[in-house]
Amino acid sequence: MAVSRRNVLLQGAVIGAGVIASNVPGMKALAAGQPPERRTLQGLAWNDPIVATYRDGVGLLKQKAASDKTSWAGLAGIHGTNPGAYHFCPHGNWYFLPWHRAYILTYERFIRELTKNNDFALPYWDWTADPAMPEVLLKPTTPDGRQNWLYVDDQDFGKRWKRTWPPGEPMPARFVGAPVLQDILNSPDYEAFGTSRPQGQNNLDPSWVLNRSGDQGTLERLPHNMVHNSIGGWMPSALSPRDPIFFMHHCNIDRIWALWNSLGNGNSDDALWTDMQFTNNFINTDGSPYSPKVSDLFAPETLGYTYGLPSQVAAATASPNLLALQNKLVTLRAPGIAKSADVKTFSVAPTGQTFGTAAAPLSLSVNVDPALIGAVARRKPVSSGAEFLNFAAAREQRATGTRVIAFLRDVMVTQPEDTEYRVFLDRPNLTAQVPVSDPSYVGSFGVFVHGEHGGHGSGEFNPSFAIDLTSAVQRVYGIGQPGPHGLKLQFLPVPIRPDVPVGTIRPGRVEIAFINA
Amino acid sequence: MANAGPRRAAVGCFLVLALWIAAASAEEGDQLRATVDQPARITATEAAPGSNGAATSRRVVVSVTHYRPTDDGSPIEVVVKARTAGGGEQDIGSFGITPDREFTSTAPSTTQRFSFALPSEFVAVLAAGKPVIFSVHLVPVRGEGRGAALRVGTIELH
Repeated sequence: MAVSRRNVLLQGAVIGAGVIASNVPGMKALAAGQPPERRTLQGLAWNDPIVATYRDGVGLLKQKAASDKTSWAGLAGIHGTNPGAYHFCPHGNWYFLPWHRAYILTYERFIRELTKNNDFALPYWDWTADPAMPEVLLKPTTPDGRQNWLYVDDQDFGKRWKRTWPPGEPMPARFVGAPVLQDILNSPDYEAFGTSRPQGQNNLDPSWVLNRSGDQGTLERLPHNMVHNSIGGWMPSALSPRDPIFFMHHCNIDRIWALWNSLGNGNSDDALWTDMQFTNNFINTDGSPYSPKVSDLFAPETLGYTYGLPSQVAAATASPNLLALQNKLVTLRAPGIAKSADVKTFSVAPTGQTFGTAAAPLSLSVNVDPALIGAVARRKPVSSGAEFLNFAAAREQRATGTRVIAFLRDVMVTQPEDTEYRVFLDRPNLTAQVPVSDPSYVGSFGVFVHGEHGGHGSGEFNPSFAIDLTSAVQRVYGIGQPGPHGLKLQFLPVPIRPDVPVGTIRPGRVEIAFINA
Repeated sequence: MANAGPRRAAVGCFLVLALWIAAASAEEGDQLRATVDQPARITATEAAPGSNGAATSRRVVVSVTHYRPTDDGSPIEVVVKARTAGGGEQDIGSFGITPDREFTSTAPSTTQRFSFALPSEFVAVLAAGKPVIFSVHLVPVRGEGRGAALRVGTIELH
């Protein structure tokens, strides 16, 4: 049976509708099924049900009287009282993420209620994958001639509010690019990831929520702040929720928090954080106060939405192999933790001062246990999940079997702004003319350099990269074995444009990790 | 989370080893104020460098006590750089200030703070008791950035 994306959405909708409409507590909701999934705006047309519902919901909120606390202007008043003054919302401290999770959830619930569409979940703007502002927010009317409530051209506080960032122009990669996201996801603990506690906090007085003296890490200080400020109009102000793009931006911030958790990173368990209650900060759709504690806001699925990520709660019951794999990967990534018995690693460091160049790629051979290559070859093909409409089962299948990952540590490069670094596996006669469609091609990466002076960006050392070799090993070695030289990785720098000089590359060390799940 | 304990312990080992109160340094005076034409410059040394040159400080926290956005509302990026005496400047990272409105900190609770990993070469320099010169630049994202200004309160090494 051919399965369309719409059919998949509808099935999710039926499950989600029961969860939200009956307002059952989180764990019962989990038992009932997966709640509606928040999806990327990328590729969604103006008349996609998700976009249409959001547009209609925003329109209904905007058409309420501004004096109504449940109107578009009224709900924005939760965030800021005027363009220069915040009301309840925390920035510059460790309540930034949970408070905004509850805030955008408030809007999601209102839109479900107003549009009578209980399968609606907010879409997010994945500015790393698609850095230009989403098109569905940029024109005053929709193609069928109706008012586009997601467009902004407002008159208030004695001035005109319009976005100033040019449509179609990408947000700079130095704010939102993949290396920035990697830096964020590498944060070692919650306070480095989601901004630290306010200086001197020693109790749960609500005034700490508005104290801005925490140390802002990369997530808040760079993509959060710079996307707000770059868009212009309402977005750089404390009344930023008056722009519908606010919720797409913050939904992505919220997704990154969920993603960081799903990678095995735990939230703070300090009671000064977990026990803080946002008393009377938010509003339920019936107008009553919504006052969650931070610890009520950990798992999206218990709040009535999901990002389709393996949350700790859902994975524990439904995906034991996936959870086990995450724990094994953590032992590879986190310092100070003994490696899992199911993880076997082999490493090599280049000798001398040899660098890989476009004319002479660098080859590094790693002696590995041949039996492990065979285990990778016997791994089952990965399902997309669409054929049996169960993505959780597909993720579980994907996590099962032996996989192999290469960790390229302390990678030294030159000319990074002009160079793409390609990795191949055991390719005879490798030259820059070998296409990326070659079976031996593993993947590519770039190295982020910010500013005219180059340097290391915000990292502490030369960058490191992890590359999944599983598919390449299956293609290149099949049920055979590497030669006596071992598993051979090759590093080939190529120019990103024909008219630029190409750099060189030399990993400080290569680790090959076989993970059995 | 089962693995959170060891990581928390590791993080807990980061002690504040030096606090350089920029405002107290009379000779640097206006060098704490940044505009698009003139970065703020602050020299930092560890108060108690590691014994035998061991690496100690690994993060730098920049605090901002005053900020004024551009006259035309165009966005500004704040870029933090570092160099050793006689060395070239290197980017440490960047940040924005939200909301993009003028503020002057009148209390520690309203001072905004931004945290950055310190590249290993600077960790080593500080551990040897030598100074690192930090500069804070206002860089227009669009437009010319006229009117924007920022005042650095402190540079802390953690």
